[in-house]
Amino acid sequence: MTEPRMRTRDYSLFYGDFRALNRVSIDVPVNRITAIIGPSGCGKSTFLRSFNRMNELIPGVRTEGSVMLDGEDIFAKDVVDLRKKIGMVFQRPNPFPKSIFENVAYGPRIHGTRDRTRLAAIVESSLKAAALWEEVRDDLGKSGLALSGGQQQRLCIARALAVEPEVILMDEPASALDPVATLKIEELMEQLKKDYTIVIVTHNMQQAARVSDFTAFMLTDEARAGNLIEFGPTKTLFTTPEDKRTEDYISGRFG
Amino acid sequence: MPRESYESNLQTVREELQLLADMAAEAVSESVRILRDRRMDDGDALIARDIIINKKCHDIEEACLHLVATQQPVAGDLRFLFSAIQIAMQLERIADYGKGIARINAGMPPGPHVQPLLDIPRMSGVAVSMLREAIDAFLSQDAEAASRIPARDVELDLLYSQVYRVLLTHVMQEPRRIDDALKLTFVAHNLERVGDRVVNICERVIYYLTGEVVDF
Repeated sequence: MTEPRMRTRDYSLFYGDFRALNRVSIDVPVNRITAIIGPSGCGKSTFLRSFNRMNELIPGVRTEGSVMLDGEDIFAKDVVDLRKKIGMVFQRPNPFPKSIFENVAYGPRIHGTRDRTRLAAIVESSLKAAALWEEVRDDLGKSGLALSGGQQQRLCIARALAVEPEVILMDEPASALDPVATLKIEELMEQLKKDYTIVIVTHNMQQAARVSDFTAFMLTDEARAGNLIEFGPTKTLFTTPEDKRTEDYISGRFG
Repeated sequence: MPRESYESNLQTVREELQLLADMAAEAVSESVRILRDRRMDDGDALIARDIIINKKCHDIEEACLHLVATQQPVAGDLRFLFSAIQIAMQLERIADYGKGIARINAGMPPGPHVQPLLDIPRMSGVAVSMLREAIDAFLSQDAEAASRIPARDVELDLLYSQVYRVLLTHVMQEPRRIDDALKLTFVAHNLERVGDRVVNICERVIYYLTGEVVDF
């Protein structure tokens, strides 16, 4: 068994006195898609944002336990370096109000790449990896905001890929997209996992079942803290879950 | 309650399976009674009823497929629907064995058997009671009960050897009725196969309830 790309141990997160995550332990395997599912408010997005320390932007946040990337404590790392290694894609596509080219070149540029030819090569390879190149190759100067929703989301994925991350976090990446654009994103994820480790939060259980290799199911306890209920291969979780609460949730009997 | 119509559709599948199981059990029991009593007129009705049984099996399959296609069942529900399709197929085959026995009776010249049938009705009794227990285990979600039933298949195997032995002895004494005796061994073979089908059902019940694939 290879080392997991990311690992949390007894990880808890507090907003002031309120415990939002309760001792979550999980291994995120390399080059696999790990889905996090659970009802609204179960802490799954908070947990996802823990992987690249996005929660630190919120005042009053405190954490316990550990989050590791390749065996190293992420809280001991420089946060800019960390976010270079762990890219993120959000629910609503959020391209910068710049050209397609500049959207993708932005990351490499702030990390120090100045050479125009080098940048052009990165833009092309990133757009190809995000399955958008064929649709925009003749329009790289066009505004990113002029693209369709599905294309904008793939542009955001290309932007994340441009800084050569190891992990891509996706928070409901297809929930604002139509079914065809959704399928394109799902297909893209399948291709991306050859080179990247992906963690996705999704409300759509069938999407988790379709795209992920591993699934984590989270639920709040009586104190409204998010707990990990079950984690395992997606195949097992959707055919023979161990916990009754997992079964009830995935078969639509609550939540 | 969430998913009310879904739950009620699942319940309908359960009820229809119970009905199909009753029909299959009755086809086997009745065919052996017809054979035992040499009733030459009642077999046709039984053979005709097989069409209704086949249709019910297809209806159950269709209802299950419809639920899979429209409701995205997972976990226990998915295992239930998958098992229900498989069990319906086994029940349909069991009913076919009954039909086969009625056909054998119709193909034998009227009149008493080479000797009174004792062990064949016993086989029918064992096979049908195994079948009823297996369906009860399925519907009452009792994996332990389902895992006990296959052991009873040994009774059927023993009775089958006994029928075979007795008929063989008889044929040696009275070769004139060799055709009738051979046909009765087919009947016993059919009943032995009913037991095998019930064992398949038990395997499906255990898969449905535990997710484990067992082979008895």
